[in-house]
Amino acid sequence: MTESVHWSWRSRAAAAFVVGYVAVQLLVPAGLLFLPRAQRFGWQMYSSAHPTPVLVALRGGGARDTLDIDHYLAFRRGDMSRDYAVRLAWHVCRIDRDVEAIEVRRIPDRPASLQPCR
Amino acid sequence: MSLEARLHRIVTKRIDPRPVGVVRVVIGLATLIRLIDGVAILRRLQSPTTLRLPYVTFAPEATETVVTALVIGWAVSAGLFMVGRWTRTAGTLLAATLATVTLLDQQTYSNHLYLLTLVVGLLVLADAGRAFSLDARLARREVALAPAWPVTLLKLQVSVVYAFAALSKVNEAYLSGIMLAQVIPLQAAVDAIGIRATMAALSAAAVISIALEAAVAIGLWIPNRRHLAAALGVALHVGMIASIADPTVRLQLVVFALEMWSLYLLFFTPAELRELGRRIARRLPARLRPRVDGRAPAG
Repeated sequence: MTESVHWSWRSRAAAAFVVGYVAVQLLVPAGLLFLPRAQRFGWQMYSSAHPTPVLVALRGGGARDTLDIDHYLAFRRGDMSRDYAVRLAWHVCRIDRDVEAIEVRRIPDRPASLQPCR
Repeated sequence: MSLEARLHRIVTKRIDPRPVGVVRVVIGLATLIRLIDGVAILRRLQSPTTLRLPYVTFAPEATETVVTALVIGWAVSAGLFMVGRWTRTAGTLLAATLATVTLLDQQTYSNHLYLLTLVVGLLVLADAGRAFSLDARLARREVALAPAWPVTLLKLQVSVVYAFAALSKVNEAYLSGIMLAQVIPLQAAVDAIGIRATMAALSAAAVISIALEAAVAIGLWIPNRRHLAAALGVALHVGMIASIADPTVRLQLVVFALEMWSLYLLFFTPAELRELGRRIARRLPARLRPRVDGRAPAG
């Protein structure tokens, strides 16, 4: 026997919302599982270790100083974009005119890249 | 029953609004606690020395005016939402404020803030001001039933969060214990049992945490496993809070725990909640036991 149900505009809207909400909450995190950890909007809290990048400022006269990167960030998170260390280097170049170049080491024990400021 | 009939039943069913009212109070409190940390992060973002990492083009600049408006909007709407005054308007404003902060910058995003945004939005749709609110008290009306479908979505959200949290942790870095080693202070353990045994313990803890998250995600839906799942969930969050040393992260974990614990209530029927309350009260010292008269609360 086929049941007949009466759909008011309100129940239709609620049904559309329920289906849409469930689809987004299942498909988005499921899709993000195929990308490197951790991704935003995927409920991937504390899912992977993230090495802290090391930035060394090279100043005039050959002076070198390792930067405290947290000084330039509002809050460091594991799910920030992979290129944030490079963007941070450009940012330091822009706000500190004494810096001539920045050495960026995104992963410990890997070669550093040199980013000239000018 | 056909899929259409099932969906129709979900969207037309109405329920006792009191558990949702309790959740609204706790979520309002959690958003107020989270504001402490939110203000600090937003103020740092405002500093000219801070790197901006917006990830959507329409994100507003974190200027003094924007940050002040967000903080005031957050505080006022969270307070009103918690006490249940102008609940729908306050909840809508609160959800919009939390969404703005979540999308403002990669550094202001956090999973529990995103979760709070969704939860507050669903509580507005659940008409969470119908019980335990100033709105209900001032209206002096009988407590009317509330729509059930937003509550179904809130329950589903709990399982989605735990299930994907567990699935995303199934990777080499997490299972090896390296991830936990980054956030848990280990010096005392290393001194006592050595680095090898400490890493083995962390690896075991990693596996247990995944199993706990998966168990809570599923167990809350099984009637005779619900109490156990909720207890495991409480233990999981207490463990997280106790093991993290960073005070900022710890505060965020407290907020996350409050969010999830309050949502557990929605899995239980009002009768089960009353029984649970009685059981807890029996274990309290006599002078701390609340007077239980079995009557429905006014408003």
